Amino acid sequence: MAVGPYTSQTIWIAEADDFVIRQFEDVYFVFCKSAGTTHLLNFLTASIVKNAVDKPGNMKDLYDRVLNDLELDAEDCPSELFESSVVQLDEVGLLKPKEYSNA
Amino acid sequence: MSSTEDSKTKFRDQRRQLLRLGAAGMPMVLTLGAGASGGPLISQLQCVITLPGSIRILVDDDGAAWVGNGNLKKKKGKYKSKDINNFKDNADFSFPSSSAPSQFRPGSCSGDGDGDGDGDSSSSCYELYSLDAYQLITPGDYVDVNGSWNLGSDAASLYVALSARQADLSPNSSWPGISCIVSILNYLG
Amino acid sequence: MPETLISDLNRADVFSSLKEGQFELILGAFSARLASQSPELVDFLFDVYRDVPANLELQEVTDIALNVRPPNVFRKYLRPQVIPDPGFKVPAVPLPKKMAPLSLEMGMNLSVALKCCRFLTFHAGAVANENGGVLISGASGSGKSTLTTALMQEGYRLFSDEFGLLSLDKAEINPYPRPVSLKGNSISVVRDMVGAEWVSKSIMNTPKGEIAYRRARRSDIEQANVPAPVKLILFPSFAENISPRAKKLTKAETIMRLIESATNYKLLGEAAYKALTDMVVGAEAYDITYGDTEECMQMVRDFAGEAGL
Repeated sequence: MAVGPYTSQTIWIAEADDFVIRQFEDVYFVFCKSAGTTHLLNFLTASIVKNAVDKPGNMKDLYDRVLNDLELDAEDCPSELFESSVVQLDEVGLLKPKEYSNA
Repeated sequence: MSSTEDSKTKFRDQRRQLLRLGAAGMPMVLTLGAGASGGPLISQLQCVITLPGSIRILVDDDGAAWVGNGNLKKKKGKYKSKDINNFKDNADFSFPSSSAPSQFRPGSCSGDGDGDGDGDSSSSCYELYSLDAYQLITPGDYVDVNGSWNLGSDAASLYVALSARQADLSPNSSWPGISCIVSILNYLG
Repeated sequence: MPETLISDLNRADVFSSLKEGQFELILGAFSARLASQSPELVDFLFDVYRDVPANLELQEVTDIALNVRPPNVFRKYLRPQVIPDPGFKVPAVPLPKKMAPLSLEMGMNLSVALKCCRFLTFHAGAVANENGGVLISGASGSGKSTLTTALMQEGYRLFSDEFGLLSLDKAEINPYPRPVSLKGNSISVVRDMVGAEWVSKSIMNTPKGEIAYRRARRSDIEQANVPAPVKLILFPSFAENISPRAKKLTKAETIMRLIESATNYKLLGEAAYKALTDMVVGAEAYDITYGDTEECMQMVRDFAGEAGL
């Protein structure tokens, strides 16, 4: 499912119609309808998906919004961790990159 | 500090701890029930067969098969009858007709007399498959979510098919990997 | 039409119906059409399935069709063996003819585990009382069957010792009160617990060792069409000489474990996801490690009380 190289300008989207999310404690079970798979997300990856559903954005944009929502700072959640989380969501098909040129 | 604030701090600390684990490489997304072919994770399906040596499998057009390590060379799409007989005679295991599923049998079949003048007849009614020594085969990978064998047409798939046949014919044989196959065949009940 | 139980039937009629492949077993969630040439199977049915409704001629389309037959025509004469043939392609190990009952049980289990799409199927024991059901999820050797039997002794109805059958539209499990399969040491434990008359004679030297079956009670079978909401989920593991301990599981942990124990979760997709998560919302779950059945039962009684059972 992982899509090739992405850039800082790549817009990440999530298709709300493609999954069902149920929360238990601080854990989120996501059923992906198109793939028939069930994924377990934590509060960070769940927030990334929620933000990408509400308003697709590039890595920096999503990072800022997610940190704001979760009341975290960059020390709690380094950008590398955020980026690797986005890539993991891409790999399982919960996020998709949509090429976007800002130039 | 009030107890509400207390639990809020604890909750935040738990989340920070999880982020630290994430930064240290713990996966942040987990896919559930993604075992063999998407089926349930059943330990008996996870066993692996390591082939003790290189293996060749000869299949005829009726699905009979001979397993050994003899040499066989195709000439103009055909095998010499002498070589075929030699391979069969020296085979470690042989299987009756209908043992190899149809996708492993030769597509077209014709035999002829002494076509190349070297005193031997030849036949295209055979297909040869080779497996390398120490090749790993996980038979559970070939069991689909419905519990049916889901075999391709490669040599490893053929090995799995014949293993299941061997378990049926002789569950205590010395066929490499027999216990793995028997455990799979037995995994329910 | 009043139901006919196997014990009401004539042995020769049952055998001839089996030979013709017309014998119909009607039990809770599934009806089965059975075929066999094995007299051992007739003995087994009259012993272990004696209180189960049956027909000598097919009355309806059955869920399961199973032929306990020799692996091939030659085998029948050379070395008498049987395999379960559920009518779809599945690998099965031939067993000696005297193990036909085991072949029947394995074949029926295979049919349910691999071909049932009406329920989300867990590899679990299940029992219920008038307030709700208990699911006992565990691998082979975890003590699933022993705990299922112990709970039956406390007045719970037997649903199954092998399958938790969850409806897809509501958080209810469905009975399938086949005999409880006992292996090795658990046979004597259960004989002592319930009385030897409730346990079949042992089949020795099977691929699983010594096997015996604890018969379902008539009351279990009579209520085989009454489902129950799941209130308590147990994940036992048995180890010799260990003091009992238990840990309450979060909903998330429970869901993760149950997804792994469901045989058709992936097959059923979204319906399975919803049914499973709905069930867990209404149930308490515990991981239990124990070495003594009675000590374990003391904990289970407490948990059942807390769960409203």
